[in-house]
Amino acid sequence: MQGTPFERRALHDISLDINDGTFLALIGHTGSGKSTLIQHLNGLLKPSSGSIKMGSTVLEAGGKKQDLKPLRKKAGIVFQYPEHQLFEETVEKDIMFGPRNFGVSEEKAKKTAAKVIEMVGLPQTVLEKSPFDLSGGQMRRVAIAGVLAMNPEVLILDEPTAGLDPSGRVEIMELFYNLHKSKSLTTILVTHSMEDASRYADEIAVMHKGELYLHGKPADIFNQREALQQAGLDVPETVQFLMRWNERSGQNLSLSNFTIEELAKQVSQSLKKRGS
Amino acid sequence: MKNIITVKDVTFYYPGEETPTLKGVTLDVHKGEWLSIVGHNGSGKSTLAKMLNGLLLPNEGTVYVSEYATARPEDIWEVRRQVGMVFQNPDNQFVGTSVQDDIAFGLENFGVPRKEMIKRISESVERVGMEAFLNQEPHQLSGGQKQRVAIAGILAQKPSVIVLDEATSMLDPIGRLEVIETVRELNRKEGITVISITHDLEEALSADRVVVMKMGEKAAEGIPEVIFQQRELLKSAGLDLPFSLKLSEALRQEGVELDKGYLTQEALVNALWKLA
Repeated sequence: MQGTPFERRALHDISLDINDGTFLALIGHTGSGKSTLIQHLNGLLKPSSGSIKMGSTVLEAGGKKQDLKPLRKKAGIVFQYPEHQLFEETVEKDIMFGPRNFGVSEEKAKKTAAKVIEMVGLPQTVLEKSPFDLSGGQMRRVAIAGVLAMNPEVLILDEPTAGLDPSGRVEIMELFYNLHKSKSLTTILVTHSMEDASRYADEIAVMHKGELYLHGKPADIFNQREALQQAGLDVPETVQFLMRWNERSGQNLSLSNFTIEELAKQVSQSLKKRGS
Repeated sequence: MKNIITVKDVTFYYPGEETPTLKGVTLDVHKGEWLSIVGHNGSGKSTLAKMLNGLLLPNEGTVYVSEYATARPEDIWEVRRQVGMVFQNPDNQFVGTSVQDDIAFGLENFGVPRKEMIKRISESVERVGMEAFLNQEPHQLSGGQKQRVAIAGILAQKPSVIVLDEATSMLDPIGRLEVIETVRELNRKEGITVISITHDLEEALSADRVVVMKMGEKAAEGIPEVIFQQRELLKSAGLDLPFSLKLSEALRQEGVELDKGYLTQEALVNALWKLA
């Protein structure tokens, strides 16, 4: 809302390169600018200054009105609580809506719907149902299928597991991770979960007060507990535990992939060494 | 122990549904306790929460708050005054245009005189640490602050029970902690009974008692130390194990001779240190 009393700078001087095929986790507390940033990535918001380049498409501040279609086709966003955006009479129609909007033929859009519904782990019979007769978890999968139907190269996920129970959370994250691998996607995951960031991401970007605060490999980021705490975040539980253990035992163990299995191995080996 | 809420043989069908969402649920809530209700999406836990202050009424069975029955129209105002609900979405909780208007709205509904109202508003915002925000508009508040205002609105009605219906699930880690700490103070210092419907297992770990819901039925009930040792039960209810228990298990698989699963990081570090 530039030029109004409500003007507030939500993002400031962000420069970030995301390489093809990267799984990037974007973390930061509420109001840090994560969602504002991802809305720039497919042209929902335009920068007040600076530019955004995705593939060969460039969005410039103050530039002429541009055709955003190529950008929007390339980058699919799964918003928070995507099931709230379902609206058609049948699941099939809902999934077909996006492709049809981009000029895909009815026949082809139908084929796509049949394909993507399988990708999200739902049976073909669901296609004929009303989306509103499905369970919450199924509705979310249908909404995700609608984004996949656009065949995006970049998948942007805004807290895709919010509100799901723990097993639903794992299922949805595994689904995205498998798609990321099998379709060689570039994935940007907005999350509050350090565990998800450590498990899936190649790189982590930390937002704080509208700026890019930290950016690097998980191992580098999780070495900076104090910096994370200043941004209202913390390290994953495995790192928290290892820090306690190091403090108590005077050791200097470290983790590379942050799983519980790795942590258990490290701690048990250090116990064995002490015992011998 | 004295019961504040008594749920007896409650069965409930949503209109038009053939399978009940709640099946013969019986539950006692003790005065002054912190009770966590956990379960998979669709297990009936939120429906159960809405039974507790008469937002939904059972098809069979009864719900009593002290001696007031939710099904008796002449009791319902007293039931609602005593049992306050905080819902999931902080943006749906606000009705007023400022913090004090919002709290006043609830009191007006109960016909509290103006002088008394002013006193109660200032008392209740102080109890949730929001006294500096009395004239702020909702959009200037963070999610955690909005939820604390919702809690102040409940406190102003001098309730005996606060029900958190996934009230922290849309908040970031800081907001979550803010809300939980606020409610914990009220629980410990003022003896307000807390019922928390949650997916956050670490939060459930610190409850006095835990109820596990599964497919509309109460699958288990007990202290966290006992409930969270039951791996199969939790798995079948769509839940995960808390971090320290998972790590205890992984350590045992690595040959570390732990006598049992530990619930907190601190307890586990202590137990390991004794083995060293």
